[in-house]
Amino acid sequence: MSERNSDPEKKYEPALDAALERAGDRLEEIHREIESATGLLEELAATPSPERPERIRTEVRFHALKLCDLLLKRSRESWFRDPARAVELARLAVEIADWLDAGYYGESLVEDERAIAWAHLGNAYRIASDLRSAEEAFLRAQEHHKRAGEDALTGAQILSFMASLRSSQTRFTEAVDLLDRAILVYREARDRHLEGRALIKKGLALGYSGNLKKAISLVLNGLSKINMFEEPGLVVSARHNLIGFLNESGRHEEAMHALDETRSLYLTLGEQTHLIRLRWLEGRIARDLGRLDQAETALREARDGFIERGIGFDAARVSLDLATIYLRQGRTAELKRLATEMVPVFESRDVHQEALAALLLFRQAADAEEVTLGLLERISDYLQLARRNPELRFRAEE
Amino acid sequence: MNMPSSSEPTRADLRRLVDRLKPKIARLFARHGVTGKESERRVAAALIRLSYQWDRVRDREKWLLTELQDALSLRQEKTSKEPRDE
Repeated sequence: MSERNSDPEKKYEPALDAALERAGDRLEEIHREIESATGLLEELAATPSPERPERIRTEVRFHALKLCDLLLKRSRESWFRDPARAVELARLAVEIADWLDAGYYGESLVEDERAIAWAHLGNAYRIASDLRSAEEAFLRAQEHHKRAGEDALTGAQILSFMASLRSSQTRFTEAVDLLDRAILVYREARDRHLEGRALIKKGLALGYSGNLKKAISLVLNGLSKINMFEEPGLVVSARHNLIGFLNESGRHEEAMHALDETRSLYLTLGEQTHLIRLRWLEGRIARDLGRLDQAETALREARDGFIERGIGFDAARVSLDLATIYLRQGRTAELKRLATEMVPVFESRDVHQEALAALLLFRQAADAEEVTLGLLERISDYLQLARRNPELRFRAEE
Repeated sequence: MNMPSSSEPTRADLRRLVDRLKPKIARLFARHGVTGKESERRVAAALIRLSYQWDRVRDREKWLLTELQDALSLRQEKTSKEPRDE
């Protein structure tokens, strides 16, 4: 037996060198694709919406995987700032993914890109409260994922997005199951950051379903794994929810302490909506600690901030928190005025009909002087869940 | 020419990756009786795919090995399913 045959490393060495050469040549093309993607995206953005699909279909230079990636990145950046734009960008990515040349990129890479693009579109629909379209988009994502050969990381990303949809649909148990599967994949792939993010999402799903103790422990575990420089926004939002869960569990002092520790992070990130949410949380904790004057000031500021930015659901929920203070202090006239003011303000905001009906119920109860803390809590909990699920019905009685 | 961004690898990145995995890849191919030509095609395809998804994959060594292992398992499955002349 020759030395070459007995030593596999030596036997395959020339083939591996040749493979590296071929892949290396392709790097230059990838680099060119990355460089041209921004310009192509600007061109598409300058094209009127109805003409874009035709341009994408007929102009081969738009059939580029890195342009698709860039559109998905921009879509992600718009998720919470401008959900309609996030949908539009993800739709364009889906269009482009449809036209990618499998002969050039390889069948499985193209199918994988299509799966990722559809998954992003699904998540953008979910954030824009179009849950049915989200469901359909995820079905398409899964079809392409299967055709691609089921890349584990893509699969985990689809699972994670689908878990958010299940949470929006208040199907928390299913959300947790999906996240458990995603967590296993990330752990196996030794991706601590994504594992941490999935743990936090699982914690939130459990927290929203009322399992606060488990939620707190999962969010803490998730926070210990994520890279805060990579996603500082995730850290703030995880800490924010953690503090909320601590407060809801009756650990008010601990919540206030954690909030003080997180304050500098809110300020560093400097996002206006984060600062309004910080004020809201301060108000709730102060209220639960019995510091009602301090709570009222904070809640009023938060409510005005949300109204100013047209964030109707949160403005409504802060108003309900404010109502709990008036109720405790027996300030019936102010409670009635608050309830009367709420409905016309929210009629013109992003609050859907079913949620508006819940607010009308609050006004009727205030008029009849029959508001209870239980009713305020039920409406507030309902609004939190109904925000992304317009089909969710409010039940006045437990 | 601009320096490549961190979202794409350099030739040296790919070389380092393959050098580290060379013994494992070679053993894998030897076990499956893969020819030199086929191994070149499979590794090049996997490296190109990885290059496009460079920023998505954290443990690239593991990803590359799994990609090659999965492709070879699929190939074996296909071979064993093909009808044989009795």
